[in-house]
Amino acid sequence: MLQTLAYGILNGLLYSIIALGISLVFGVMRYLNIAHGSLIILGSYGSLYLFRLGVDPFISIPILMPSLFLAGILLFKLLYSNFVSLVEGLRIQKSLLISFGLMLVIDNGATMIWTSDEKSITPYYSGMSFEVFRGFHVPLIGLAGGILAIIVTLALHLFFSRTYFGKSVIAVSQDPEAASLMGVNVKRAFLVSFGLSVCLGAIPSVLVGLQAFSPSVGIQWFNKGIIVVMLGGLGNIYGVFPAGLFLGIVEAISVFFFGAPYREITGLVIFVLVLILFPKGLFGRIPE
Amino acid sequence: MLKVEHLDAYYEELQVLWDLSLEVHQGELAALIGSNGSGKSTLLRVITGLLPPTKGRLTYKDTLLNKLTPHEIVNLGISMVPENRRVFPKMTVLANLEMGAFPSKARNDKSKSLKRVYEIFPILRHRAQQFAGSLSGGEQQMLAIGRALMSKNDFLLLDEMSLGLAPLIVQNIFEVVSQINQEGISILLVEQNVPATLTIAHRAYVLESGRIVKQDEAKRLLNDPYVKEAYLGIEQMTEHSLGSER
Repeated sequence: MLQTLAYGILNGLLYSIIALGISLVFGVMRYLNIAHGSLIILGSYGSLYLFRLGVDPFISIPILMPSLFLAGILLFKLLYSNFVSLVEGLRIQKSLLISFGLMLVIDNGATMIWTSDEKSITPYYSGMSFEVFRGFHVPLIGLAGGILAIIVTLALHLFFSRTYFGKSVIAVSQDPEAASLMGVNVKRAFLVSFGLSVCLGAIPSVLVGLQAFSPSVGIQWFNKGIIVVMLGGLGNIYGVFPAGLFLGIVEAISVFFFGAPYREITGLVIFVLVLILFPKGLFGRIPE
Repeated sequence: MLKVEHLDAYYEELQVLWDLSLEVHQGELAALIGSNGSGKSTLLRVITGLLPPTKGRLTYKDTLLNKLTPHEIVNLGISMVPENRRVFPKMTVLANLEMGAFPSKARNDKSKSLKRVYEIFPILRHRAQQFAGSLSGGEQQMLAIGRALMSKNDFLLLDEMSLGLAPLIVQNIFEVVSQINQEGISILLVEQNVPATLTIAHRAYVLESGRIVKQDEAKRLLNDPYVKEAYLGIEQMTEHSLGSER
């Protein structure tokens, strides 16, 4: 049971870092980026190529991050920038449509280039774990990934609470028009947030890459992410961390009791239950 | 200082402002009065860059504002206290004020400006660590004005600051605005509370259906028969009406 819990927590940390990217974009600019999972998988391919060149997957994170950041900025300028000043509802609708199209393009493009075969990054330490005490193992990669997720979340928190620019992004998320009257360049805040969101995908890129991936799994990881975002409270960036852990642990417990095939269903059942019982998410949402 | 010449503005197909010209001089407290839907707030949206003008020229200290974005206009020196306060509800009072000092020239003097705002509105010091959304309407209005002052800009646009506030607080805020103006900040005050506005303003414009129908010194407008009838209620013109409407 303790072992199950440990796996659940590590998985949960991966979920929360995926959700963080989705939530950042939704919280700040009310864009729903369905292509987030596909962008993560693109990162996984990047990491795989670097691995073949002899770069350790964890070392590839600092290379992936700026490249994904730039990719995010480019995508934003090309696809997402011409409806920033619309009302909230329209922004959600348009971003939903555009990112759905983007997802199809990325997934099918990836299938064309890399085929739909499942791939995996396999460094010498994959599958290794260390024994904390008898019968209780912690997988090495999962642990490293979990620690990275925590570090990045803390770094993001510091960015939002300590830097002037970070604070202005929070202000934009609460009232873009009022923020612009304070002298904040709202378009730039959007641009940077979107870049950051895609850049955050570098960590799940590598962690998913170390498990197994193919062009079609992007949407599955997005699903996990969006469930966590909803559980945490839509638009509440700080809710995703506990919500991710919650989903990870609940999944792990369900695997323990009902077996692995029901794992995906558990998440969705929890999702529906929470929406019925706590429509604002488990950890509330920023009031309008 | 601020000059608006022959301005036309539209919401989509609907023309809201018609050939509107207006000027605010250095150090002046000018006012724009008019009823609901006359286009007052629209004019402020155009000046702050939130709504692009269709025709006409807007200049501030000889810089053309027509094509500038809101944050560029703030950096030029115009700050706005928007209608309905628009404080950031889930940020503390202090964080709201700090946001006001976002323009780079204001950041270095942040602590000095903060001290000054706390002197003007002592209540904000006590509320510093509270979420802005938990403040009363009057306190939020003070915060919104304080936030605009943090920018160190010398031109202030005030949109409907008396809306929905208790008369006593309205009176207090009008006094503060007058005091801020005496300290050298030029102000364009947009209001429905006509008696209180005309009491503190130097000059005023009357806006009706998107057109300026009258402009004069505020004292003269107070005694203008047309203004008296349309905006003051003929016999209500006593000191007591200060802040007693709306």
